[in-house]
Amino acid sequence: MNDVERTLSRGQQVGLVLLRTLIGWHFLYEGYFKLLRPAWSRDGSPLAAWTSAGYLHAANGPLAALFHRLADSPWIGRVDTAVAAALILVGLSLTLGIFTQAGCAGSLALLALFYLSQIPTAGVPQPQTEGAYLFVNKNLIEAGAVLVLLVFRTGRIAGLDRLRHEPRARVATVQEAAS
Amino acid sequence: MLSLDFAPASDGADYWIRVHRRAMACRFEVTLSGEDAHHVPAARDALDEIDRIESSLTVFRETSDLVQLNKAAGHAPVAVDETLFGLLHLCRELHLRTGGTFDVSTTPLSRCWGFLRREGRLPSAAEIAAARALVGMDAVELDEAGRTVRFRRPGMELNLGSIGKGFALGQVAARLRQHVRHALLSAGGSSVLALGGRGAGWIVDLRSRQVSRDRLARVHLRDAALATSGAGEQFVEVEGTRYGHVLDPRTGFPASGVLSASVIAAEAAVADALSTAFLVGGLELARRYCADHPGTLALVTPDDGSERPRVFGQCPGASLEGA
Amino acid sequence: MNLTPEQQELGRRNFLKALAGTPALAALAVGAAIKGPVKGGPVRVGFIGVGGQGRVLLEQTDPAYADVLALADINPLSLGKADDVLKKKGLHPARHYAEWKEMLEKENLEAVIMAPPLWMHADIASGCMEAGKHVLCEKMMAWDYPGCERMRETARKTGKILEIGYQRNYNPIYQAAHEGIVKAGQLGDVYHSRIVWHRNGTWRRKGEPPSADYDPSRWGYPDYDHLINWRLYWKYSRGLHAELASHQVNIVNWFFGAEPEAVVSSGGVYRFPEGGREVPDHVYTILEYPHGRTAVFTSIESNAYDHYYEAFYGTKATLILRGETEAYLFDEGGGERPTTVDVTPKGSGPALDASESRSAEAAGSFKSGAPEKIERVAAYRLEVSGFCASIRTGKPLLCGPDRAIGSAKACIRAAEAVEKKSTRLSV
Repeated sequence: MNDVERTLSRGQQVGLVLLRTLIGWHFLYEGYFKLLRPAWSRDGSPLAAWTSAGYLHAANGPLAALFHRLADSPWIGRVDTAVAAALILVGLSLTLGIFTQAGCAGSLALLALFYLSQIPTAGVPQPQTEGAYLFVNKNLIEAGAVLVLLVFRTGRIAGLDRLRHEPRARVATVQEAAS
Repeated sequence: MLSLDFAPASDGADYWIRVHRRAMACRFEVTLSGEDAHHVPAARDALDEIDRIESSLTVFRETSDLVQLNKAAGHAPVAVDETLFGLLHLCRELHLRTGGTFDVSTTPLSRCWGFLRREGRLPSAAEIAAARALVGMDAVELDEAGRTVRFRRPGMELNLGSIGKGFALGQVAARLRQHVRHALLSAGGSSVLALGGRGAGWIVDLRSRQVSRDRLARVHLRDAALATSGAGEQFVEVEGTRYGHVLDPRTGFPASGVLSASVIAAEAAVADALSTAFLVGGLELARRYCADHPGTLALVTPDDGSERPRVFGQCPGASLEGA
Repeated sequence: MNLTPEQQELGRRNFLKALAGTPALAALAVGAAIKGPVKGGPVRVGFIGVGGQGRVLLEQTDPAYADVLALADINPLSLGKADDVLKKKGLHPARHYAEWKEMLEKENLEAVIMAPPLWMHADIASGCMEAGKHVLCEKMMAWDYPGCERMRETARKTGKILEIGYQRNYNPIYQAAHEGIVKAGQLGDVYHSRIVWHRNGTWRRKGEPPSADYDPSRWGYPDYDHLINWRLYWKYSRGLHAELASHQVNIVNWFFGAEPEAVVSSGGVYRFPEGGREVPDHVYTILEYPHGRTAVFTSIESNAYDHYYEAFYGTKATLILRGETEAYLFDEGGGERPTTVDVTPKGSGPALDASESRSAEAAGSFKSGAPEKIERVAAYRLEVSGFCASIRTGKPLLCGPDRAIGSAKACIRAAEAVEKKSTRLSV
């Protein structure tokens, strides 16, 4: 039993790991879906290959100029692959609880980028989106949730990180048992 | 979100089914989404309701309840059915609420302006005064107990043209609602009633022949009704001056100053009546009415060259885009 | 190794905690396999036969669904016109072949969309499926019944998709009429259907061969006239029954939920005998369905007043589907106003235009006076898209061989009945 486990109730631990798994899945599936395309939905509609170019073109906020340049750059294809790969890596990290702190940090960085590219300043529903947002949107909220995961070091509650962090404890247990 | 992409707009079947029939000198239509094809029978059934209402309310058929009422009520109280009585009650209520601008008794005025025969003429002051004497909802007595109607002045006449379509839509909707959750009802495009509405609601573009702009506004409707009145749709021209067919019961002259008035409200009959009232009463009436009666949204385009509708009030289930 | 129960429990808990996220991963994998999208781009298709009908299908091929790589046609003029279609659509050019077999060998195709003359359907469709291609074959299914059976059997044997191009099956107005009127019992009992396709003019086409020395005889056409007017000769065609009636019989079969048992036909080459035309220019056919139901088909080339429609006369109401775009419903008993059913595309625009009151003639839309109806050709687009979707995702077909064979069989027999001047043939 480590310090995280000692200080948190069982319910708190379960809640945190559940939150991490859900966020991990969200990232993982978004990344998987991007790499899968071009694809077809089960009801028979084609889904064109994914590119972030259109989204980046529509970017606003302080980094808009950078995003616009990126959208027009010849390496937009590599940018797309990198984004999808990053989403999958972060997703795997959070889902499985491996290198969780790095995964949380990566996820925060991605969410920050996404948020900065589309900061909701209008405060009214935008075309092709649901809901009305002013400053706070779901990206920002997800970032807040990841921040919680980061500070609680949830990899030490559950996940493959336990195999990395507590090898000695496990060995000790086995040795004790053998003696 | 993480999609870094804009979602394509898509919901189920990608076509509308429009079930329509000619009634009340216009096209009554029930629009269903493609996946609701199995509701076509319910839509037809509901449209049958219009035939029933029309045969009761029209002034163009000798046998209609309204014609019978117009013939007899100047001499003695006339008993009418619950539906017609309720509608007349609503007419009087709206007459009071709109400061007399909505009035279903203006037929004598329309006749003296020649609008009934579509041969417009400029009447003399005496003719107008004589006609005005026969106009006024306040001279229509409604007796709740016996459900009877009496005109205090012989020669009065009622015409429900400015509320009938909206009223009919309301009746159709009541019948349709038993089976169908989402449908868009229209009577000639001037009265529209949204039943339910998937996603952001039914999208309706508001247009007017009175303005050169492509559309005045785009409206999203969910369980709400929209009605539009315009002055110039039917008009007569006398010595170079155009007179619209909607008369101001307060002056006896055609209404002026407003090109197009649209109203969104929960009830189609109310929206229908108010759009006529605001065409007559103008921006000021619309502003005042919407402030006093929450749940009413008005778009009034004044005849000032701006071609821009002024928006007053709010209505649950309705939102405007690009007004 | 002896572990105390406590140690075992601790080890088990540690193990489970280490694997906390794996059920989520497994669920993702299973979900993607069952409900998730299927990987793949547009279907790689080749066209065989790009005459008038082939080019309609080409024109209506949505590039998001199908990538047209190659075209095969024995007539270079048709290939040229097909190129123009692709160009107009802003698509990349497709490679040309005179021989469809060569196209199959050289191109990496997944599917074939074919619209050659009727007599070639069975050979080409079966050949394509045997070469591992899915096939969308323009109607009618095949020139004779054994040909239809061969196509169906080849589809079954090879496991390839075979769709027969009856675009009405994909037309929303027919779907709405079937779902909302016929199936909903609005017509009552229907004993009679009338299907009509009337035109005024000759079917014969005129055209100059692509070059002076062009010789189509190696493909079975003695001269250029026989190639471009293949519809007029029994060897290649089944006349008006195959080209027109089969569409409508297919609809009657759908709406009746049955297939004809016998046909009675009359007809002849009455107006346009010149040029050695073999197939009649006037045909009149009675199709007998089970349970006392009868459809009457007429097709004439001397008057176009009726144009074309499918009508269903029920005990409660009459449904008329006219020109593939309009549906009218008339109640029995008179007096009632007719109800009209239109189908209009949704698009991203409004469901309705509202404005000041309009007269009955002016309908929903402001500018044109009525909402824009779904175009007739949109059904072809839905057909080609549906075929491609079926290939990628297994979405069910609307007119596979089992359905298409019913109308083909009846129309083949109806044409034979005219040709042989026999009175009544069982199907």
